[in-house]
Amino acid sequence: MLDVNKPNKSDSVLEFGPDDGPVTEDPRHSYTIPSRYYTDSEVYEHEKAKVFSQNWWLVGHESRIPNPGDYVATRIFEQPIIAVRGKDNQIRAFYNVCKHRGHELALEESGHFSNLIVCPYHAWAYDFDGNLQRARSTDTLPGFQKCDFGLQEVRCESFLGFVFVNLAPDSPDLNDMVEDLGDSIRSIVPRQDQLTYSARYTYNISANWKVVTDNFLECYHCEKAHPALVDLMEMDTYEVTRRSWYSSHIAEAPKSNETQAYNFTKGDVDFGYAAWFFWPNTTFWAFPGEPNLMSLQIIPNGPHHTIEHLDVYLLDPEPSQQMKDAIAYMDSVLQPEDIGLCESAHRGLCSNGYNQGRLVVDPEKTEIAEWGVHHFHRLVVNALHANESTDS
Amino acid sequence: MPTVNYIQANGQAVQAEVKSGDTVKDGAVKSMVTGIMAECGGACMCATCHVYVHEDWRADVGEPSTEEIEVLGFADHVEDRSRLSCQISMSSELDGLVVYIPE
Repeated sequence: MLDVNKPNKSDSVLEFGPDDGPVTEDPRHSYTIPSRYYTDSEVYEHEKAKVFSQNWWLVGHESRIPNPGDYVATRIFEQPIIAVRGKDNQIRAFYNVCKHRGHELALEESGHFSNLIVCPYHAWAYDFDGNLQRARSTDTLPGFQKCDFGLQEVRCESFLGFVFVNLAPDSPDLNDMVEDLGDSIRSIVPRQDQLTYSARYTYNISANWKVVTDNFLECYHCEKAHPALVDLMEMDTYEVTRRSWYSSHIAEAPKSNETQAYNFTKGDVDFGYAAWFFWPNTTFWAFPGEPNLMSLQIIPNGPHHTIEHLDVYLLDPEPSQQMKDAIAYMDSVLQPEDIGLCESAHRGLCSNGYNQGRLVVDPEKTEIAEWGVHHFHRLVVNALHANESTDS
Repeated sequence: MPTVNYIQANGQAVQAEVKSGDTVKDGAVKSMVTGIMAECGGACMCATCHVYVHEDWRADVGEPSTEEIEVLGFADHVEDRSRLSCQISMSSELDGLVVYIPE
């Protein structure tokens, strides 16, 4: 709902009106995106169509589906999707919908199909390549051919073992979009390819997904809001790197291994803080010490709510004491701090007393600059204004 | 009532009484025999009720139909003695039947 009392009402909710400041290419002159971009349900619908139906969406990790028949399931708004490992070891993704009467095939977030994908409704059965193999009592049905009722396949690609799907048949390939992101992650987590799924932590946040993303993309707030996190890195070395579709946020290791966050032994991951954002809603984190990587997926759940799935990857699914300490810090200190910030900022964005702010981008101080937020806001504006002729 | 002896993959046996006319799958599901999932409910669709029939009973149990052979094609570790337990109907002649559950 667009609040008509807000001064920036224009014909199209996406259009920048006379009272909106521009989101310029040059971050030094740029405003943040207008508040209605965070709160308006019409903008949210545009995002579903132009952002999330056109880009790569994280489904899970190959280590969660090691055997033929193993699957992970996700939901891209109204679109239920499964990714299944086939008998040929290839991972394929399909709409998680039986072609008979539309029942969902997999009902869990992850699991295993024994021999075939059997629909829980009428037991139509598909092989892991999506071909309909068994459909009871259809032999005498005039004109019925099983080959007409195979599962609808969705594009599926892996990156560093992470499995992504894309609903758009003609958008760029995942491996072109990630550019040198893999090199960047491997440079920080050299044993990344040995990591395996350990656990999922889920957070429900009362804030728009872009508020949550913005917060991930700058450490300007860290000294004020995350005293322990600042202790875990050399803030002066915090560097933001921007590519077409991702940004990285990396700082060197702290001088002491005993920090307010947790104590760690110097290990493979020899740095302080490392985080990567991959457009539009996938992020990765690593903590100092032994090999580890987390994926944090920022899932819109209406304009005013977000679900975060934080999956932890370690050398062994059972965390060591050091990783337990790192996870406990993340789960009970860092995440609650960030969620509190996001929920308050979102309430502020809903008020009539705010429309846009300015981005703080002092080139001399990369550690307290909002380059990453600007990079993200440009991607949002560009995506929402793409193919405007097709809007109605 | 006729009985069926289910030898689970771990070697442990489960003996169950199975009414004449019910299938060997029905008895396994009621007695919660490990390894018999019967995902399709017993319609010869999914091959998750696969068993090996003991050599002494193979002649009495009989051979699978063409349709059953087709579905067995989706199961792992299929042998000559493989059957889908949803396609074996119990009768007094099969009293004491022994079947093995594959790994």
